[in-house]
Amino acid sequence: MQFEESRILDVLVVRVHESRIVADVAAEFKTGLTAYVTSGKKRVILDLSQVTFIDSSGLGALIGSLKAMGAEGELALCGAQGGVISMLKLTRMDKVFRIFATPEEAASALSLRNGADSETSQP
Amino acid sequence: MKHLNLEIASDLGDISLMAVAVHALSTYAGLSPDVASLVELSIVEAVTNAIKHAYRGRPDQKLLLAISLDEEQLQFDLYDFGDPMPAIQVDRLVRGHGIVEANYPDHTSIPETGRGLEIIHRAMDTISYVREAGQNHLMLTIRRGS
Repeated sequence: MQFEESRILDVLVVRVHESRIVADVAAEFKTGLTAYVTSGKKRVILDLSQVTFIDSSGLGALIGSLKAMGAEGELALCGAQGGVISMLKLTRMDKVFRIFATPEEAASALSLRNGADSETSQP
Repeated sequence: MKHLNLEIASDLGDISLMAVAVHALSTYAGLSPDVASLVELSIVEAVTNAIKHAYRGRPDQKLLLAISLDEEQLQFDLYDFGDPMPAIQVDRLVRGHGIVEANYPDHTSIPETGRGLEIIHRAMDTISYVREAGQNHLMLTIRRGS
């Protein structure tokens, strides 16, 4: 599974290059996400604009990464498409994750609320 | 009534083949894009559950999905030939027992697993599960006006 990193307002943006996050790739997805968290990133925006489908296994990986961020960190989502949004609403996880239309909106919100990360190392 | 039968091996990597066919048929039947996505999600959860639990992860077993379409609804009949679903899980799936509106005080209390049956219960109009003659039969329906 490929992740593409960028920075907006000094907040890390991770774009997921996978169309379907389901049971057979969920473990790999979680491992990839957790690497960013354990490397000390306190604020991460996950760009789901290329993801068309997430099942409960993929959602579990998202939740696991959110929990790994701890109380100090934030994991925001952006770019989620119709089917992904429907899943998040059905499972009530739209009330747990901060969801934005674009990475720019997410970065602005996270920067304003918390101040940007100062670290520059990559996982 | 129109019928379509699909069969895949019990390999997690093959579920998407069935899923995309279900989504396409749901769209063809006139379901809204959001509902078609949730129907696809429900089938994925049901098949994943059968592979992981009924077949205990064995990838060389058989899963059958019979899809029926009439003027009123889409019906999905999923058959596997593995272990039966425990009664407590059947209650959760069919009757929604144990499904609550969660209010998590913090992120650490959010469970990472166990949402598959809840998803199916919330998304589909009718659900039944029967174990008979060595096979498990899950029937799901959704109204075409959804």
